[in-house]
Amino acid sequence: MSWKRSQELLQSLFRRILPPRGFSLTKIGKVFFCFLVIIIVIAMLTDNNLLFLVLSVMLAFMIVSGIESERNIRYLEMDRLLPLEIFARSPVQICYAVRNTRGSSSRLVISETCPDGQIGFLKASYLPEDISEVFHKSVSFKRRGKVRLEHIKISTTYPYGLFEKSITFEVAADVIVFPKPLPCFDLLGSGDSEDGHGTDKTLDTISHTRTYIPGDSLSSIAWKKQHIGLTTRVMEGGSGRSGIVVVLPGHDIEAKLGKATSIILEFFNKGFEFGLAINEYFSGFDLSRSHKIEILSKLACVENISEPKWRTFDAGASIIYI
Amino acid sequence: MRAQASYTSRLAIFTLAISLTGVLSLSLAGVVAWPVFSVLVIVHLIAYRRFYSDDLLPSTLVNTATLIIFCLEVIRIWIGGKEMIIPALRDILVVLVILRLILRKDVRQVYQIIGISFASLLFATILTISLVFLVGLVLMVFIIPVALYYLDGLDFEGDQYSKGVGAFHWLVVGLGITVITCVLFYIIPRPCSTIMGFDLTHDRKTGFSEEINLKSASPVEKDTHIVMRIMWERGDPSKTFYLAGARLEDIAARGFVKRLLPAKGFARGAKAQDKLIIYPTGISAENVFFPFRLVDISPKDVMVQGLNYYWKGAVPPAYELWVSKVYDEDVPGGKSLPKGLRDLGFLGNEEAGAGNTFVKVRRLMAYLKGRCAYSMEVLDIPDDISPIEWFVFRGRRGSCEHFASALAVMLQGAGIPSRVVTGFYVHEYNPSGNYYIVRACDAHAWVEYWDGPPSAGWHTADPTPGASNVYMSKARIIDAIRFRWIRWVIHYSLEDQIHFAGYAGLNAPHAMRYAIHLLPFICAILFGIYVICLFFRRFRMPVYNQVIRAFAKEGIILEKYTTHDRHLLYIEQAWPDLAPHFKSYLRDYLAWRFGEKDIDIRLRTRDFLGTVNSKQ
Repeated sequence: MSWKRSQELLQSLFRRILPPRGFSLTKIGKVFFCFLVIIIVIAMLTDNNLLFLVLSVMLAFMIVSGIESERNIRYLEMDRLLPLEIFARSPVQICYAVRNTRGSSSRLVISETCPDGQIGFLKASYLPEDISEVFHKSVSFKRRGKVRLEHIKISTTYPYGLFEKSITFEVAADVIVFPKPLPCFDLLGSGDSEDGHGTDKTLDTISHTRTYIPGDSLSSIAWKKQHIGLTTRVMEGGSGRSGIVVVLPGHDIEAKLGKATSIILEFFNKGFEFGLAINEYFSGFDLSRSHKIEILSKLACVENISEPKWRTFDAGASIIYI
Repeated sequence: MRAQASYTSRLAIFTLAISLTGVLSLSLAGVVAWPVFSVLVIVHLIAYRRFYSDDLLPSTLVNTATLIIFCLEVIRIWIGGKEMIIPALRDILVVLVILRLILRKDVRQVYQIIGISFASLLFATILTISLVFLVGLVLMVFIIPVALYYLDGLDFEGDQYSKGVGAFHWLVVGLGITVITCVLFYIIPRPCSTIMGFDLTHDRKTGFSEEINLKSASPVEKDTHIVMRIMWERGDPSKTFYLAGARLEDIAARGFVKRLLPAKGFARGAKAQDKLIIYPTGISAENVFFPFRLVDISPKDVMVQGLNYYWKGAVPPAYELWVSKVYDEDVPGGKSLPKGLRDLGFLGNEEAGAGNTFVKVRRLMAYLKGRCAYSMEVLDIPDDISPIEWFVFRGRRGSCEHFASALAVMLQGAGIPSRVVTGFYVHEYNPSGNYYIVRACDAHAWVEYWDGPPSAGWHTADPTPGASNVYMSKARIIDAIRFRWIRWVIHYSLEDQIHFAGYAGLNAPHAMRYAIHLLPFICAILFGIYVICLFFRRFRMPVYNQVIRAFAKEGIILEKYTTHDRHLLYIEQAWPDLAPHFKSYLRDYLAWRFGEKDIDIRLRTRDFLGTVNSKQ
């Protein structure tokens, strides 16, 4: 047997005997520990064997507690299921699938932390043997961008509530939190006339205009004129079956990104081809989910906005400047 | 709702049971009288039936009352002194128990009740060496885990009313704690050995006195308490024997006294024939007690004064003796009898008659037994006469000390060197524990006389009539258990631990040698059981664990606590050929696991494992 193999076996054996565990005392455990220390001191001072007997009982109690809690968490398996799209400041559900492959488990607390702080914890009072229980936790990420979820901790005070033992699952995952979609005020623009009244090629006379709301039919947007400004967009030409969002420099980056996100989602939902141009990036046109995810990921990771490199596109596409 | 009520009810029962066990521990230690305990039992029952979930009095009032009682007890200690400490602590504990019962038993209160009960147990522990103390401790061992379990479950809505935990579980837990306690108790090192030094055991009035004072003899009580136990470990055990405490060679006006000689250290004697272990449990006399002739002793913390041996410090909880039944030390130089005893000396010489020493001694013993009667009364002896002569010539009744003193004087009158020995007459044997029992009422006095060749040496003569009329207990098994408790719990010491450690060496006794010889076979059997368990466990092993194990056999160690995606990544790097198969398997496995597909995962796993084996 090679040295490396022996080392691996030894490590495996060591992990088996002494698996990595977190350990802490609960409030009652601290009282118990104080009692233990007092008894040790008195027993040593008085040489009273019956106090040694009581001390042995307490230590045995701790050992049995440790064995039971280890049995409770030793054979746990854990998986985390993340939603495909996570938007900042919007509730999403993270699923934790937990299973004990040998025996049942009781009184588990599943908790997860990210750099922003603890995401939250779940309590599982009972887990039957070899059955995956799925627990849901609604969470909300504060900011857009990359978030690293590092590990999940399952802790238990089972069986006596004196000590908390925990097992950590190193299930690191990089989550990209997309910008929160913002309603696009003044998206529709003014149409033919400044007050919004006018005539569309395909539609009847427009009676009035109102603020664009995500979910409105794209066919009802007036794509005729182009306004460049902070919050108004001008659409020009095209068949209305593809669009490109161009993000221009400005003060309120988050609002711009939120609106861009909103429009991208809208394009995707309606089945139009869409694209994004921001800074030196241009996504190209596509209508697939992966294309959407790519664009939203780009928006999530933008740090500052400069003058876009790409401003002119094929004549068929509607251009939305933000 | 019913299940939840049942959960709360169970918690209530165990809480009150713990509270009651604390008081029971105090009663078992003799701190709380049994009538008080009975009253407290009734109070607990009422608490359970009537006001477990209600405040009988406002908590502020109860806390104020607690504080006042605590202050009053402090004042009591201050006024009454040290003697009041134990009663005051007892009263505080009992009052705390009652006041906690008055309050509503929320989680905090239940924890407090457990704490108070445990404090009661500790208090009782300090004040007792009784075997019945175990009753309280064992009850605590079995009840406290259950109560803590239920308390912990409250955070989880009653742990769905404690699924899967039944009486068998608690039995296993209780036995587990008991077994581990036993192991820990015997391996935890301790600085010393005994609580004897703290005067917590009761020193019996044994009737043993180192020197005889026949003029002020106090009445001897029939005290049957055990003061010593003796194990005859090696040699030829005698059915009965005399356990000497003091050898008295000189005669004073009041009776025989020890010879005053300068003390010296103990020196090992000639070859020993027998080995005994003595466990003094109720006697604090500083004399070393031994039968026959003392050859060696352990511990050697002994000083010698003439023919007598004394402990330099406190009496050890146990000591080993090596003795020789042949007592052939040189006879001391003869001393003439004092004037007041010459008549008795002449009488002895006349009654002894002709013949060898043994015959003379028998004649004198028969004379005394025929002339005088045994009596335990207090005798009114006039001052103008020697109490020994008064016993023979006038009173004609007396205790063993009178008989022994009279025989010794008469033997000396007949020219036979003699002395009085005080100690215990050992006659009670407990076959359940293979040891002799020495009771307080076995204290005795007898005579040793010197005989010339062919049986040269000191011999024993007991002139007291009715010495065989002695107390014999019938509760031998109980005493054997009690003896083991005292020996292996109360008096278990660092010396014992060192002694046991020595068993690992070649000095192991037979039993240990057998155990050592059997050890390989025991290991082989255990290993066989382990292999069988492994064999069966393979069928029970979770499917994904089988996969991890198969990879491990190929030298690919997959971290257990990580995601399946990472496993896949690792396999893609470490074993690219197998990666597509693993990916496919993983897809099926996860689909099965999360309920998307209803497939025979064991069969699928077996296929995949076959693929792994074929790709080697």
